[in-house]
Amino acid sequence: MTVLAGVPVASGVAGQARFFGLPIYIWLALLVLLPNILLIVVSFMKSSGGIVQIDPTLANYSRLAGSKAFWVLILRTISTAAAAALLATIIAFPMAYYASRKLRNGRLIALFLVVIPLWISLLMRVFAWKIILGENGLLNSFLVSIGVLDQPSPAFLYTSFSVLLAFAYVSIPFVFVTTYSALERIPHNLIEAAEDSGANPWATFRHVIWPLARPGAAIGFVLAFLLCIGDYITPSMVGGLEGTMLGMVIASQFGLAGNWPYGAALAFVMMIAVSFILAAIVLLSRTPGVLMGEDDGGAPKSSRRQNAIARIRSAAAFAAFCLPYVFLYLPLLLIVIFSFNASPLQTFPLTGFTLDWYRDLLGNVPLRAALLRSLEVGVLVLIVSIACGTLFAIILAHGKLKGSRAIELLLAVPIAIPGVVLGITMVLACQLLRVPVGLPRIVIGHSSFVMPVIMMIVLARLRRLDPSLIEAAMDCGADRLRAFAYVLLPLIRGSIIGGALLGFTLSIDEVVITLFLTGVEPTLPVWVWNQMRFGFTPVVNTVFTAIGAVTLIAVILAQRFLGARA
Amino acid sequence: MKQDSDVVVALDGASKHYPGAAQPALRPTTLAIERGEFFSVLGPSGSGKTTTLRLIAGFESPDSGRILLDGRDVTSEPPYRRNVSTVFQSYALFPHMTVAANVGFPLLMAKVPAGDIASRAAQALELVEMGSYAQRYPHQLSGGQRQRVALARALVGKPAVLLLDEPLGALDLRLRQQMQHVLVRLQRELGITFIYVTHDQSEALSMSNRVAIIDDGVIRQLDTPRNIYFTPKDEFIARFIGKSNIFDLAVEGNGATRTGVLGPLRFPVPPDMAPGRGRLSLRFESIEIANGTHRPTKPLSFEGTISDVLFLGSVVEVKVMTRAGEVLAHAPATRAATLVPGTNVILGFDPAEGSFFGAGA
Repeated sequence: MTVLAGVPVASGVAGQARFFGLPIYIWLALLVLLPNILLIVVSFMKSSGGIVQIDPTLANYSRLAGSKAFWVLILRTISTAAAAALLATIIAFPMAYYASRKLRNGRLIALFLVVIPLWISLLMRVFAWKIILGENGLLNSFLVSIGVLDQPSPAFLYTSFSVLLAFAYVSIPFVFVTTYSALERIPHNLIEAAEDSGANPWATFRHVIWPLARPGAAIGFVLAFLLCIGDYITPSMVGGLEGTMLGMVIASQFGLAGNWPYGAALAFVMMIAVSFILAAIVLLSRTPGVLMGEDDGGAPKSSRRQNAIARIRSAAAFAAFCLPYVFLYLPLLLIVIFSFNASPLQTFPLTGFTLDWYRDLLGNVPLRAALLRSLEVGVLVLIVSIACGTLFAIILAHGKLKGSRAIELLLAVPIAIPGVVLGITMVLACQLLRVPVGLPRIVIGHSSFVMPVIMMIVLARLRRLDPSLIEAAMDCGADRLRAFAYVLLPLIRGSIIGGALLGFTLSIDEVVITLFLTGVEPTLPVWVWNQMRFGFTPVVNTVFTAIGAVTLIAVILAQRFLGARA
Repeated sequence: MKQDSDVVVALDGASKHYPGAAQPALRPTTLAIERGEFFSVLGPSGSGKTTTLRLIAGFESPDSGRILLDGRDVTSEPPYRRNVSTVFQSYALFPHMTVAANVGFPLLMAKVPAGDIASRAAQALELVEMGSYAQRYPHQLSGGQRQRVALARALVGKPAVLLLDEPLGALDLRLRQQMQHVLVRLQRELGITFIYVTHDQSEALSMSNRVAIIDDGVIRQLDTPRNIYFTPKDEFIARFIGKSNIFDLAVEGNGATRTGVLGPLRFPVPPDMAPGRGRLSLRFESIEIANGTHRPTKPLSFEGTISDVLFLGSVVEVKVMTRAGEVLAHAPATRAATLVPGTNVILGFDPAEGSFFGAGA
């Protein structure tokens, strides 16, 4: 479908179209093709004393093919990530269903409450799970106190179970958001039409709601799967020996083990395996047909009478909606509690109330520097990503570029690469192009996946726009620039802001990729990571309590403001 | 066995007030719709006509009163346990199912064997002349085709009642007229009760056995199209249906006889009119125009000047400025040449062709 037939390029001038594609080709070459090609090339090199030798060999691949430990590891990693993504989907789907179809007011709040935990450091949230699952942790104390266990069990922490739980926990917001937006788009009259055709609630779900929401749920599942499989931080915190994942081994080849070619080979194999799994999921989850019309899915204004069974059913639905919030916020609650706890150790029982840690926060220069650096990175990443993402989206939506569909997919590749692999490819490219360690590398690394996020959101909006709007603007005498400024930009502004918000959220808490790119000056998550390994102080709790409070207040104010306008 | 006049759908004092709405959508309403009837609910937007339909379909529960289908109280039954089908204004075709699967869906829900589903869905599609589109998806069809598929899906389960919610609203004029014929034919052939909601009076009047005119959540008149057109119950109906001229009258009483006074004209009015003020409603086609060689044939006449002429095809609609205000009149299109703005004309009318209302109506 050619949309926006009237946007930028003068028709018939092929050379001009190619010129307009130039920025896209440059991005594609430097941030997608080069890093991945380097990964493949390096994986066929020899390593000697921690230095890559330009000497082609198959040794790395024969080494991993012959290693039984490798096959055990990759299978465990894939199955743990898949199980966590599945668990997250099973928890998030009913939540998203309830929020998008049953709630009338407060849908935005429900959405924000799921997203807010993303603003609290991933490391901190996972760390809180250690407090819950550990031998002196909440879960053990609780089970002992109610008599289920005689003595605290070590079975909860440092196992594959704890990795699974932590993975599912960090994945829920991502699955929720994609599922929510898919469910929200289903017009309510389709549900009425199903009921009218004699379908009871279960049949309506099976034949209408699920097929239409399946692609969205699959995207959420895929995001969760990628997040988990590419994460070497979470398993190294809660996994112990039994919970070791492939990502940890890959990362160590670029750190302690110092064998880049072998690490590249492991990463490449992981990438291939992931590609096959993603392709299979996309093929299996496809639903034919095209959802038509802009009909707001909307919560029904129906006030149908309910019999006893229906009342039990809706109570159960309400519970499935509410309980995950407890799950989501329990670790955050611990962070808040320990920010006021007098003891420097993060264990129960609490020792007393103090504000000392907040006083320390004000005086902690490295922490403040790290926070500022994170904000700096976030802003720079947004500037690059908004400018390029919007420009690329307009060029692609215009449809004059040859193979624009394929280009779009290629640009989005970094999103589909597990974090640990993306980090490696970025390190290789930055090394080759002599990009200075630190801020420049981090900004480039983050932009590689934030830009496509913004681009895809803007592109989706552009494709839904009525193409005659731009024609109308030009008909009214606006040149291309003014047509963009007065008509196109106001129409896509919401999408740009939404994409930017998401991109900022992803950048500000990024640690998996950043650890490969950072220099001596850490970003906030990297600083926290260092703290956790070398002398943790509860000051860290205070930063994230403060960030959480600020976010919460901002969301409430925004809701008030938007609510007043609506 | 078949009874010709048994009631298939009944509203028994049913009312609905949406939470937060200033006005009730439907005030307590009692209504009986007979088997095999083509019944229309006609009203302006926001009048409560769609609410009536949604109450019957079961998408809403009434705040008070009952809904009866075939004499059975279904007030608290969900939509999927009611033997009624709806044709949605937006068609509501399932985008992920083929035309055949859409039409087969009600049968699948009714646990009809797979082989029968295919053949019965094909039959239903033949009925609306969409047999060759069975394997398409909804987004590959035009508006008119989607409309027919929606109709086939609603009919396939042989419902006792078919509810149609402004089903022709999104179609262009030609398709709309075509579909009117299709609907009337299907209703006659299948003998299913049709309840048709619309704001388009020509649709309602041309297809229906009976029409209920609803406004502000109240049924203002329920009658045959003919009676509604020629003997509107009150001034609202007179204004709402067709093009009417409303004249203010003085009514003089003398014993049992009543006389209407309109300017210099005096004529008898129905004896039940109260003396004082009253109103006379005359359809624009009841007012003739005399000029040149055409002399008035109606008993009463008054003068005016043409201010506007609309060409409607077989007739012209003429707006005439008179001492009693603007009056709409009509003339055959063959006379259009002599009827130009600024021409002085004489308007003829017969009060017996009009309807009289009290001033309070």
